[in-house]
Parts: sequence; structure tokens; C-alpha cells
Amino acid sequence: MKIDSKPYGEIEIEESKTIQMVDGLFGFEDHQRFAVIGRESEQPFEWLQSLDDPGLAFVICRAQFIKPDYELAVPDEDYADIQATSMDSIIIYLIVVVPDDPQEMTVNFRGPVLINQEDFLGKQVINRVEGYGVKHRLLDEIEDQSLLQASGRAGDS
Amino acid sequence: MLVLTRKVDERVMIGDDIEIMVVGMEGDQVKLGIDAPRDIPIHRQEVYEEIQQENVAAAQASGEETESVAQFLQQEDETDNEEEKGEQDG
Repeated sequence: MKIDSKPYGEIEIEESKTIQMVDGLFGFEDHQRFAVIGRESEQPFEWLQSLDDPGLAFVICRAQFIKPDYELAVPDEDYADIQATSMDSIIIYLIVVVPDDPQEMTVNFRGPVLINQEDFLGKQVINRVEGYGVKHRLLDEIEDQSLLQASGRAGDS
Repeated sequence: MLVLTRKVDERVMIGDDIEIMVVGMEGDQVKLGIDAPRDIPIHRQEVYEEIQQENVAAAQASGEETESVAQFLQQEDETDNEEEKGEQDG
């Protein structure tokens, strides 16, 4: 199906891969249909594009690329909402804020987006892990690890 | 909004299974104890608001920036790999 996207204009996506976001995102509760879109040149970043509003899209990144030991502590209810029976089916995305100076890019550890890739249900949750804030400077977080390795891992999934 | 006056150690029930107790008072701070089923999420309001604000900030991003940042990261990465390679060679 063709969709109108914020970063790329009109593009083609697989209709079966549209995501139903349970309760929307905090502050954007009215938008519940999304798609994850991206391009090679933008890796490890992808976009969470609203299908209801072409002008609404979020830069996201898989948690493992930024913090391989990223932990998740959320109530069972959150897993039930996206009908996840195992962690293996869940992709954890972190939302990235890109300010004017890209070096100051921050990533939200507190409010990750979980997507169940088996049934394409997603939800933004509040992660209770101690010390996880809403603004971690991305460059500080990835300092010690190789992103190329991370994108290699992306090919596996 | 329903407003109730409670003393320390007194409780409020919400439905059958949520119980809120005033545990203590210190200056302008009230300490609350909450008993609720495990599947009911309880968070300070500030957490919701912080995440909401970050979402709003994140929604401002445009395409060009992302690509340049991705390229910047990929370059950083190549530099790292070259350094590692250099160490292995030496």
C-alpha cells in the first residue's frame, strides 16, 4: 500500500506490517496506526510513521544498538496489551530527539516503544528500571561500542 | 474532583481493590502508601509528563538531520574499527 511519510514523501509499504499502537503514544493518543520505515543510509535509525497524519513521525532506534544490556521492567499488563507471550517476539525501540546540533541527540530510556512483531501490536510503556531517564545523550551511550557490529546484528533478525 | 480530608494512617478505598493510605507528612510533602493489584500501573504524574514532552520534542525531527547523524555515526564507527585494526596489526 502507498503511504505519505514525513521523511520520504510517498512510499510503498507492506499492508500486513502496519502497526496498531495501543493507546497511541503519550501526548499523541489519537494516532494509533503506524508503520516502521527506514533507509540503509539512515541506519541505525528508523522512523515510526503515523498513518493517520503524514506530518507525524518519530526517529527511533532499536534499544540494543544504543545499549546492548538495556533492561525492561514493566507490568505484565503491558505485555498482555500487545499479546506478547515471549520476549523473543518483542522489538524494543527507543525514541530519539534530534536537536539542531546532532551531537546533542538524546534518547528516551524511560518510555520505550514495544512492538510485538508477530501480531504488529505496539505500545509505549513506562520502564521502571532505576536510573533510566527520558534524556540520555546518545553519543555518551554508544561511546564504547561499535555501531557497525550493531547493524550487523540487525541483518540477523 | 472529589476532595477528602484524611489524617496520617487513615485510608481511602477506590473500588474494592485499591487502597491509599496517608503514611506520613513532612513539611509540604505527603507520603502515600498504595495497595493495588499488580496489573494496575502506578506512576508519579511527572513521569507521564516528561515522556509526553520528549515525544513532542521527538516529533519535530526532519529527515535531513537523521541522515547526517547516521553518516556521522557510521564514520565514527569506521574510525573506531581502523583504530582497532591498527592495534591488532601492531
